Amino acid sequence: MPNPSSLFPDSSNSSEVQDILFGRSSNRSLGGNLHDLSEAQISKLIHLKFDNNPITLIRQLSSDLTSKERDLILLRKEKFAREQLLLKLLSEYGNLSSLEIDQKLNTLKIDNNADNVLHDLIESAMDEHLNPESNPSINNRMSIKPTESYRLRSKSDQLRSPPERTSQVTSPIEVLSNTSSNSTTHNHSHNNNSNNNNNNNRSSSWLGNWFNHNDGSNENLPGTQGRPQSKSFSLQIGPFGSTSSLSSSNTGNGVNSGGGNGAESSKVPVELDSIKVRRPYEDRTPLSAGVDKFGFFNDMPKEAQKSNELLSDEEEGEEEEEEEDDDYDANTSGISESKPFISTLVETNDLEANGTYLSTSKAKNTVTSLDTLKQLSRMHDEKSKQYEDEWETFFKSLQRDYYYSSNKNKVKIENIPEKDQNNTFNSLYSSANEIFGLKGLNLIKLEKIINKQQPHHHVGHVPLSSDINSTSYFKKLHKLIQKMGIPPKYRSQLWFELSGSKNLKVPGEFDRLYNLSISSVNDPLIESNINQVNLDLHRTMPSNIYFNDVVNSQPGPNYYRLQKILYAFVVYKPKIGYCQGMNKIISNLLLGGGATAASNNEEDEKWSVNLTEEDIFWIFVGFIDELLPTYSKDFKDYNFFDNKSLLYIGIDQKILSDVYFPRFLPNLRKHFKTLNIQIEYITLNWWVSIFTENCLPIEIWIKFFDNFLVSLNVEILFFSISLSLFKNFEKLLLSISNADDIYLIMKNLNQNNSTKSNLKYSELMQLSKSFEKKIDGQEIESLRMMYG
Amino acid sequence: MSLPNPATPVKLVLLGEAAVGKSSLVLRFVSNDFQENKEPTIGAAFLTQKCTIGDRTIKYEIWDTAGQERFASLAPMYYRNAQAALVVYDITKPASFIKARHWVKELHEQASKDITIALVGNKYDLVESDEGGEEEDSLRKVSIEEGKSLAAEENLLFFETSAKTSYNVNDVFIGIGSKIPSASSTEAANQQSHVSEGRVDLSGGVNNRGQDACPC
Repeated sequence: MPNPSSLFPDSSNSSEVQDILFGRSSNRSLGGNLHDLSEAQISKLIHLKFDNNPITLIRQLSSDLTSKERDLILLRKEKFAREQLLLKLLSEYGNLSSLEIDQKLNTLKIDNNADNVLHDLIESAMDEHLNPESNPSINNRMSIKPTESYRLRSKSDQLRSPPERTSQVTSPIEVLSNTSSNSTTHNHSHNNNSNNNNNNNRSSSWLGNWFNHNDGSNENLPGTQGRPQSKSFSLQIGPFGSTSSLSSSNTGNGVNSGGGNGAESSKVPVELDSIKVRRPYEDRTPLSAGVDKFGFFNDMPKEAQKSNELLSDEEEGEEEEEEEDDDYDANTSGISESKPFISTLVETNDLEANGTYLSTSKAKNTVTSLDTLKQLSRMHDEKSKQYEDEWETFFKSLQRDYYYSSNKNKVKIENIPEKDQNNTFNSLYSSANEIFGLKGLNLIKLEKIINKQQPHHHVGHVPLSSDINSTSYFKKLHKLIQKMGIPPKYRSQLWFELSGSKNLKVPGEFDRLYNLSISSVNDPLIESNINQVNLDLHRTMPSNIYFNDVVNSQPGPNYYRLQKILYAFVVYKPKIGYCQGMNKIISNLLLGGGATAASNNEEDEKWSVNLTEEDIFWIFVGFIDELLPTYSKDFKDYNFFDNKSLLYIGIDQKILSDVYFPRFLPNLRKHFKTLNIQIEYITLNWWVSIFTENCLPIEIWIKFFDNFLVSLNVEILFFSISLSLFKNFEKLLLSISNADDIYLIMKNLNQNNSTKSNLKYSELMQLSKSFEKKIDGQEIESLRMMYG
Repeated sequence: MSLPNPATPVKLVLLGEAAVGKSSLVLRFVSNDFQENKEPTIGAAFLTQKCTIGDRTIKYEIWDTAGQERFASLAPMYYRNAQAALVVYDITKPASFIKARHWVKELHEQASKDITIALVGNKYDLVESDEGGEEEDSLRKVSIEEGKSLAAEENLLFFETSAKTSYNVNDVFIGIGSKIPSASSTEAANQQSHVSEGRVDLSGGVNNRGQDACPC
């Protein structure tokens, strides 16, 4: 690979050129508002700041512009690489949490050197020239649709002669075309008519794919493509925010050779964060791209569309770009800034799509929004890193105290074996079999031991992150989980412990139960339950690829896992049996517990324990047996899923609507009263399905499940989550004066985009926490007596 | 000639054994759509659809209940003030017809006296090709006569439907609509008074539905 600088004709000048091109020499940056100033003001500016020399100003502007462009190019490359990786992750694993995806994406190494990036561009351009027609798949004709200024420039004569770059407005893109024409022997005159834009926009490289943006006016006639004599690159800059232009798939393998439009439509368009397929292409799209990270097809159920229409005045869609941020942005100051930028992007997209070139102010906005997006993504990365660090610190201090409590010789903290220091989490388990215990209660025991052994035990400790009382591990665990849920890499292990399944699990028992269920069952109770399960198996998550492999028209792997778990469960607990809703809960656990997730990252592999269906079975049993509320009547305890419990769950809804609603949401209560809305019509479904059915989106549900596991009083949490969901949409609900619409909205929360995108874990948790504080468990008991 | 009349709200509840196609019937009626694997309903789902019968527009507020036996105890909460009910069974599953019988009985005992009930034998598509001949291997396990006679006994509307092919689905809702309130055939001049007379109980029920639907 030749040195990129040698491509510049005047090599002695090249470093200087690059410095100016890439803004390295710029010591100050002008604001972008010059075009808004009057001539007099500009003259004044030139006079005051540039010693009356307009050339200095021009140079300054140019350098600002090029540096922005450089950022843009690098950013695009980065985004493209991320996108590719995402696609790969999706097609290979499909089931990854946001944090896992982030981790993987952050391991991406992007070449930060704009020179190399440009050099790639040039190389592929030369390739194109060497193989003009014979190998269209590597025909990389980049078509950059220029902004107005570039376009004028490309038509000017300056291009033909080596430009005096030091004194004129230059863009790297332009240099690109110059250098390439200079570096090839065929130095034809530039054919700068508008046909340049009609060049076939096919590509096999990342760059080509970015720029492979047909604006509709482009035609792909085989005869007009590949004009080898035209060395000028008409780089078509797809608007950054336009995910539609970021089509990508099968890069470099020649699949795109089918010709521009055809190739484009067979490609997989991917949005950066929310992987969503544009509908027109759905049928032709490889499956992997049409599913989200949990394996759901991105096809909204029809009945939800109706309620979607109701909300049409609400913001839709666009902020899905931030989907992965959803847990963080509530805490991030930048979020309020980001929204206007996003709408700016959309605006520019529209302009671009209409064939209008970016005006300078639009371009400025785009650059600013790129910066903001970058900033957002950085904040997001920092936030998740910070969050994991918090857990790491937590484990470290736990580790210290476990060493301490298990060692009578009072080993000092510094003496923790080095091998364990790197792997806090795993070594925790080598020092104790069970760290957290059911609901995290072991931590309380640990605290007691420590406090006995050494009252001032934390004197020698490194202070933990400020806000948390280092003496109460139990509280700290709660707080950590409330903040953002359990980090995916620790989730499996923690689920396993906190649900009590570690103690429940009997080796071999799961298989024994399952075998019992499929061998001749003589128990009519079990038999009827199995029949009921069979009725529901094929209709559980039919829109998820792990449950319904539509490509091969056969059940997916999770179908069989769900079957095994449910069969074993009805044999294990024939009295509880199968209750519709269990299928939903187990499916969510399967998707969230990583039973399908794999890791291609060694670092992650070390941490994460992928839960098998056996583990999920025991977690589910633990959840049902130990964690869910029980109802007592006549000195009998009924499991939450017991047949009889339904009555008492109904009573709880009555308490919710008659006591807690008037107390905590008086306005809404009044509004509902006038509309004759029965709250229990809405909340009962939530409760009996543990908030899975048409309620919480899976990514939020999983985090709430994390919370269930450490909650000492799950029914209080149930009440407060129910109230938070109403509180979250209070404004919207108060504005609706039609009972049906309110039912439709609240009964399809995770089914339509507008309500779904307004459900944020951190916000709901915040609300829920505030309600939780005000609800008293003993009051619930006495209310149950009263209403029962 | 047809000024748009304000739609008459009609609360309709679906009852029937699990997986007989209650939700599919509703989906066909509301969205004219069919999903091979419709997810089971938990608790109850809510949908609305307008339906014009003659010069009258009815707005169905549909409560689609869960079919699993254990949710049966919740049903009163939904049918208590309903003006109409669909009792659905699967014509290939005799057990579901027995269950339908129970539901009809329960509705007559517990629900509003004026409730309009339709008995619906679903999944007609499964037997469509067999109709005509007297084969023993037909999937049909509940004959149309059995359905008809139950309907006659209990004074119900009766339909065999297929949510999959949409056979007869709209007819069910139109049939119910024309039976509510009692007289759609009465002259327009009398309609006002007649409707208010005939609907005294019902409107009371509708307006009070917020107050007394305690699940216990």
